[in-house]
Amino acid sequence: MNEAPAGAEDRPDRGRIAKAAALIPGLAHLLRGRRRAGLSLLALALATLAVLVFAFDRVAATFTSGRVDYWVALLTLIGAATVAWSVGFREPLGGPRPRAKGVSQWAIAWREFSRNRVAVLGLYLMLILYLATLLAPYLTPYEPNTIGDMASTRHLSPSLTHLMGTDRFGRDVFTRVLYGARISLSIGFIAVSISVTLGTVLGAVSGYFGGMVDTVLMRFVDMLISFPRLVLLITVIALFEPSIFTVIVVLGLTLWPSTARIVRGEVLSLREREFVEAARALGLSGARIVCRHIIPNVLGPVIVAATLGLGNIILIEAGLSFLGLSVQPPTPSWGNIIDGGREYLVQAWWVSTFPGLAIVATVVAFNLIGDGLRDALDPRLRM
Amino acid sequence: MTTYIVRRLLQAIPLLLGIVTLVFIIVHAAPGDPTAMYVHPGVSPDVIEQMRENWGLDRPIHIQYLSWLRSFLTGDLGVSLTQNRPIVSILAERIPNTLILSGTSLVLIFAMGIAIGIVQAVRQHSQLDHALTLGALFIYSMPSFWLGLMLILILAYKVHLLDWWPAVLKFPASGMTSVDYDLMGGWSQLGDRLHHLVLPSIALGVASAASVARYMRSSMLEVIRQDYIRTARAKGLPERAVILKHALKNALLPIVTLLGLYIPFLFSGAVLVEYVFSWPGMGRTIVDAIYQRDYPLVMATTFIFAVLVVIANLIADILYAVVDPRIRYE
Repeated sequence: MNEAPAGAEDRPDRGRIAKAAALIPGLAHLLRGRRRAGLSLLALALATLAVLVFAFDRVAATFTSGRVDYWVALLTLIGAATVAWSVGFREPLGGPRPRAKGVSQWAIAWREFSRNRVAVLGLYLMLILYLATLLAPYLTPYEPNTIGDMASTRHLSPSLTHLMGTDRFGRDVFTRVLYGARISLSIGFIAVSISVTLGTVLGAVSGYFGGMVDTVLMRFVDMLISFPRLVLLITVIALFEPSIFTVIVVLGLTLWPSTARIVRGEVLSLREREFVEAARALGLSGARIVCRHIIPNVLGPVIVAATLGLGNIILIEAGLSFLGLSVQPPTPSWGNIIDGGREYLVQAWWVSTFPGLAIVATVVAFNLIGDGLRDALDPRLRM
Repeated sequence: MTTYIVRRLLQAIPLLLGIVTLVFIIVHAAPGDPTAMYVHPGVSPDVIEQMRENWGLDRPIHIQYLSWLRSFLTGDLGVSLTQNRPIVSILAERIPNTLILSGTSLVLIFAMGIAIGIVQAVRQHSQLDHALTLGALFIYSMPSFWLGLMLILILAYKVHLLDWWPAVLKFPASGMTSVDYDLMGGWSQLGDRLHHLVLPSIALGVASAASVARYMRSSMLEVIRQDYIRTARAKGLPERAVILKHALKNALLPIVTLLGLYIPFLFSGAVLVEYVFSWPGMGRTIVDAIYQRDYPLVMATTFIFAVLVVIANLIADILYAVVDPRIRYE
């Protein structure tokens, strides 16, 4: 009883509620009226419990499977449970809420972002997608590449046992879509990291130093932009061997020009500002000014471009694997599942339809987050 | 004005040279050379060596570059490995088809995008505005090839099961013309072609139309708030005339710049859409050439795509200078 939070004295039963609240994540938040946080924690906790209960044998199989993805799924499960229970436990039941400390620029941005309902919806959608991808081995009883009994399981229409039906080899489409998400989401993430880093550095260098460097870089950007993106990509990928590695490298190395242009534009106006002049007067080197003073100030537009770029890259990767130029079958990716169902479109519409819906959901999520971030990070748009 | 156009034309020349060079670099950075596909236990290494010599692959890299440059500049794009005929003649058949498809899509994109954008701006914050914004979000998050497949599935196959569905709205699933095209009269030939254009141009254009609508909405909203619009309303003009006559012209200006922006995007989409609809254009050519490892054809098509983008950008820039009198060019 002594451990009950400070505000609990006035109501004797608060102690019991506090103990219950610690067991059920989100309850404390809900009691304090923080509905969104409470419900999300509750949902997360219930989801982990549901996975444990309904897929107990597969979770247990982790220890004997010796497969990396099972271990990743187990870690994700433990991580999700840790987050749900520790955050739920930390929220005090009564008493004044902790006072806000100094409000940083990022805290303001987060507050703006979390007020934007649609953007938060996108964020939830993305979290669910990533969780589902990491937990894939626990969420489905089938294996993505195990060929079923062709006579009895080929082209089954969607039902409770096969949520999205089966394809021409009798493989469960839902399983393949889940496993295919790995490819799409990870390729997108890595390629965007490469291209955004390159674009930011080159754009900042080009904008800050100007002169010859700027001219050469910007003419090169003009040249790269003159190629229709997909045409350049398929040409380069076709000449090298199509594989995940090639696709990531080529995407990363060809998509930086748009970021570079945005950054350059921002830097051109930043470099005339007083704080940069002050840094120069202090005798700081060019490299230091760019890295410590310029780049942090262009991060806002870069983050927005990266989020919107993620959606775009997922579309491009889907197009490439649809043409057979990305991950090679039987490894599933959303694009190659759609391609696989193309010939049997009339007999088995579900094979091509569901992975496409998965792409739409993912890209919508990233676009919503990107739009929300743009509104939150741009002070000019704040009312 | 003329000097501006001439200057823009001159600026395009180094750009084109750069593009040729980049294509050359890509070819030479790739592992293996064109003779690799002939290497076979039954072929003597001497023959391969002879082929390398014939194709000039044994010469120093700068000589190869210069001869590559010369042949591209004189319009000699080489010979296709699989079709055994000059690439120029293959592409001459394919370029118009791609232009027809992209052109139709472009008209669709701007007509639909501008109309929807105006409606949204005029009814800002209404239910309709929100519904259209949401719809646009979904549409531009769709992969064009998947949308194409869904259109084929529903409007070309499934509707055939419905008796009451009008025959005009049962669209062909692929190709540019029907099998009996040559037997048709002039008008029905045109009708047949248009009928084949509908689904691919929708699949190709709808996503960009959604994004044009978005730009149009914000551009229109900006214009509507200006004083001269208030004046027009104050003197009692009907709302229709205010929007369509006074506001539209200025709201369209920023939209013209989008034209140049969407061309490369449209060609990228054309590659996938032509593949899905078996449309005999450049996109289909490049995909087929990749599957058949016909690298000279791949390179030439890539180059032509880039040239088309440069030309389209040039036209868009000049168009913008023509419509916007505020732009100064000296």
